Amino acid sequence: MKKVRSTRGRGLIAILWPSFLVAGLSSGILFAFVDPWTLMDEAGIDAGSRLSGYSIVFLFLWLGGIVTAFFALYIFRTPEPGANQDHPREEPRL
Amino acid sequence: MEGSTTPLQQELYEKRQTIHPRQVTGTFATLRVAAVLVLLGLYYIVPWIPWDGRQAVLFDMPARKFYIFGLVLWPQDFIFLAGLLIVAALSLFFFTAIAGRLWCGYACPQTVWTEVFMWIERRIEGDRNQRIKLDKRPMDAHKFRLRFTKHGIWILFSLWTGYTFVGYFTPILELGSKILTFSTGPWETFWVLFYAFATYGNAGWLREQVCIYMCPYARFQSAMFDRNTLIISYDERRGEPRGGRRRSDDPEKLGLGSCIDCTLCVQVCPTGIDIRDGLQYQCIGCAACVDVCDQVMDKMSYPKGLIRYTTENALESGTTRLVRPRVIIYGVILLALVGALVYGMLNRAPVELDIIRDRNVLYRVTDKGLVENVYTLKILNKHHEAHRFRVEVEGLPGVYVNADTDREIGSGEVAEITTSVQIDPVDLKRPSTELRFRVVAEDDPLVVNEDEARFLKPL
Repeated sequence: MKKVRSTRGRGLIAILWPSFLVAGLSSGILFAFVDPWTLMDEAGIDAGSRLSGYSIVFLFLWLGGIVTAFFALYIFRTPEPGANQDHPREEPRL
Repeated sequence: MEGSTTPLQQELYEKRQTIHPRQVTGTFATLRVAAVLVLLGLYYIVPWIPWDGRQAVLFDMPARKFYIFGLVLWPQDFIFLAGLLIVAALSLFFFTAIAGRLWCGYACPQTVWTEVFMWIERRIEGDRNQRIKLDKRPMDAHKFRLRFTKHGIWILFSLWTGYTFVGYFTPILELGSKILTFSTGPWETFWVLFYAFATYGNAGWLREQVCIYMCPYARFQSAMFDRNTLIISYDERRGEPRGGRRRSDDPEKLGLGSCIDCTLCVQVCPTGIDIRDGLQYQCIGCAACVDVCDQVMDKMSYPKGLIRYTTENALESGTTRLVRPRVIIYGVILLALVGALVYGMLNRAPVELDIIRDRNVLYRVTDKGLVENVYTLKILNKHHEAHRFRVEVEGLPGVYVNADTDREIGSGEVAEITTSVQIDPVDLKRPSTELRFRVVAEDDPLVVNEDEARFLKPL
């Protein structure tokens, strides 16, 4: 049980951290070219201030990254048939 | 399950043992403390420096302007920021090739903040042995008081760090008064708490795990390494066979090397490794083991440097080449980029000019028989003062320019100026002629920019 918990901790880091970095970088590049006002206007979101625009887009990108990383980890960890040793497949009974 | 895991997997999935590094003094510890004071000092003080009636360094995201002392950067200047980041990355490569993980040991925010957090911890919970004992002790009033104080101070310090961080993006004085009156906006509050939480979590809880599991640089820095890169290394030939002995013993008679196996190098290590096992990716190059081992060598009256900054080549043959192709290539690229960046910054146009042709009417012939083209000039005044601009057109003789320039354009403002250009068809040799537009501030000839556009005439 102990082992599973710390693997989960590392999995959490692997999901949250790279997506955070990429979200930061991509919002930096995005907002160098686009004014958050225009973006929020187009999206029909009443942002109230530019700061909200930046924050909403950053968090949105981060969320996207989190979903991607989670998905990537998920398909990476899906075991081959029969390889799941915690719950070994029962031998077919004849 | 157990049988199928490799030793490596077991190591990775092992529950983390809390590392309590022993405090260390010495040359490199002093250097690190100096680095901490300078870097954190800068971090906490810079937002408070005034400049020209505003904050000297302010990445004013709400206004989309970056102030760095006298310099004002606009979103259009993004290229400089990108260039700056590339220069920073290349410098990291350059210094890594020469001196290994200098960044990690002395300058990385993770190291610097962790150092402060450990200092606080040491002041409250005591030295390494006291902390280990405290960890093992069941929770009681004494332990609770110490833990409460430690986390309390950590959290206060983190909150101040978060406040400072947001102070780089929104005027720090205003933010301060907003915090005091509980009137910060939701996002300001969110970012202060977010950064405070990140500081508290990374420097208080995660510590060396950030370096080992999260840091991308730690993973690829070995690509910049070669046999002449400065590393921290244990001199195996001199140290082995290791073993305990009395100070008065002659190690040669006992058949021992210089290492007395006191394990102090392991106790001081912030990532909990044994440097005597060789170069390891967990080593952040902080040189704590160098400092502590030198002290032990002094006490034993052995020469210092059993663990020292050295290179693989020096360990083997005693020579190190500083200038080598890798260093030259990194150095040349770095110099070229810095040069280009400085040149670009110095020659940055204070006015941005964008010319858009009228798409509906390509040309028109006036009553007087002149050919007229209409353009929209988008002028962005990046200068720190407001100006009224004059539009000039070069490239052909006898050009009549009629620009709608009767108003001032404020600093940071964009204005669209409709400009009509009329030319006598006699002067137009070709159906399409290149014209050079110049916008210049009426009161400052240095605030100027140029761009080209085509002038069309009837076929």
